[in-house]
Amino acid sequence: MLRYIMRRLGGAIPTLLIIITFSFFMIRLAPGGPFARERKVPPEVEAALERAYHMDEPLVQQFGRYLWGLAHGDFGPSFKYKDYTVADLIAQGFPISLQLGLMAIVLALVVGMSLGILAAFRQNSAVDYTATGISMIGLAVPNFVVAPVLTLVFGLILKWLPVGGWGHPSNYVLPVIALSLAQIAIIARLTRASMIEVLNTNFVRTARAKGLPERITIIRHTLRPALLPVISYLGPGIAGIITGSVVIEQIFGIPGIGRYFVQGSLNRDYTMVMGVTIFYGVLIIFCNLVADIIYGLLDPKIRYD
Amino acid sequence: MTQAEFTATGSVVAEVKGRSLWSDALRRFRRNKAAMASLVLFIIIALTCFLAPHLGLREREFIDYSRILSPPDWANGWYFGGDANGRDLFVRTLYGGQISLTVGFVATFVSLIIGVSWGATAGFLGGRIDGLMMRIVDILYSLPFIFFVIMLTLIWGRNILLMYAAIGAVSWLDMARIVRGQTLSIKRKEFIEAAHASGVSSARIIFKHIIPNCIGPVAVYVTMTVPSVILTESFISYLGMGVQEPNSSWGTLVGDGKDVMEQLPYAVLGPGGVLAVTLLCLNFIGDGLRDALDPKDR
Repeated sequence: MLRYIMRRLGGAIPTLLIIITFSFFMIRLAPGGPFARERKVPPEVEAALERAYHMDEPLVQQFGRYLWGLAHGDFGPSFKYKDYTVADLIAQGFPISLQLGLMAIVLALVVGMSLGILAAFRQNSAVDYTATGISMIGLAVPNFVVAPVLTLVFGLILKWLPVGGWGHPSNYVLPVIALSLAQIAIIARLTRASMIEVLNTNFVRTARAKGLPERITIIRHTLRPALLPVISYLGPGIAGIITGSVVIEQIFGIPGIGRYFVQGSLNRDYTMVMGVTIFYGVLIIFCNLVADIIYGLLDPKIRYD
Repeated sequence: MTQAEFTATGSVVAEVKGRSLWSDALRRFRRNKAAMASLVLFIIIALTCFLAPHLGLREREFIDYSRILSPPDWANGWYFGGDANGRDLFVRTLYGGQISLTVGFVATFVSLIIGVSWGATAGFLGGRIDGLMMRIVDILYSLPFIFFVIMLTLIWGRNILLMYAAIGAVSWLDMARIVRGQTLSIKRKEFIEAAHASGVSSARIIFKHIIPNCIGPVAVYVTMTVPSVILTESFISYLGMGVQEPNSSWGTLVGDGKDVMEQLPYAVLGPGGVLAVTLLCLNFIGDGLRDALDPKDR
């Protein structure tokens, strides 16, 4: 097991290097530097700015400098938020994004799995159709449509919940629902399909044949194998939540890193965009690894050697 | 049921046709009501969008100041009302559809070309090259793609062609995996051996024999890729980093609509609703196609 984890961590290094190299050179090849303004700046000021941010050095040297900084947890200064480093901004925004993301993933797992399980047990019943309907809607209606509609209905018309901001629990409801809806849909579909498959296997038939109560059959024999596909979906699911949170944070005015990313992209804040991309890359790789390990612990058929 | 059996039982020989995989699949697809209804609806939406200039509607840039943020008025042909500039929101939604649908199909085509060639080559060559090529796919798989697409559009300007290419270039990974799997099983078949024996070159075997035999699963996957690509494009456009004025896609329209939602809910509901219905249809068509082409999966 430990060897497997080490090997996977080793495998993550080239991926990380690719993310860093790719974002660095892509950003540096961009036309229109970060200091491009409407008003022309005197050339000496521009030169001074470039020197201050080491933009006058050869590209390779800049890259080396950036890598060295990354190794020390330094993402460089933000080009737009003058007195902050990118690391500062990420440190400020991440707890909020993490809170939002965790709530969304927990809600998606709980609701998605329950819907899927119920639908599998009562195939072609009202519950099944409701679950299928919800997953179709979740798949087809993008979160940037769901979020404004939710704000409109519950925030502006009914005035039950605030339309933006962060900090009070009432702020959490709408963004978390909007963010998790698509994942609920996918998880419900996955759970339903694998549950139906497991219910038709021989070992479930055996358990029923030897007279186990239905409750025990389900809890002991069905749930564990049926939920494995959900575990292996966790990696992509978390990636989906991270991507979605960019839009959701923007819509609800939540001060997380997703919003910094959007602001950074619109302002050509190179280091910010690069920093957030790399940070998300690391996060996604890490989550995939954790999901794989959990999968291995739950699936006795998998051996690591 | 084969042709030989029919002739043996003495039925009318002239009218007998072999039933191919495709005619079987077509029959199964036709029986699937949800998929057929979705197909019809999707064709109607697509035709309306692309024929919009010829339907006698208003010009895309027509402005009527008295209609600024006005609610729908069916009697006078303002089906979704007017937007913040007094333009006809329905017409703008149709033109937006042209861009969203084009992105969907062009980017899927790009991903199809890359994915199929990559997967077929890896599966056919096998061994170390296969390992290396699929390792590259694995690495790319764990990258935060949307962020790269945003970076690409940020850097190369908001060129729509580039957006097609960028989204296509990042969505070929699943295609490559599927085609590789198919190739691995097809390449052990006798007809490939026969081709080898008669001296056909590897490239020719890949393109003439292997790829045509992967079409079933690839077709299913293509219909699944189109909605996800449309979604990616609207996501980026929504954030204000994709398609730009005077062009618009469904994503930009929802983005614009969100700002005036309080006065005019239709600004979000109109384009957002059309987008959702289109995605729903494409999903149903994809499901139907999968059931039709892969009956053992039922």
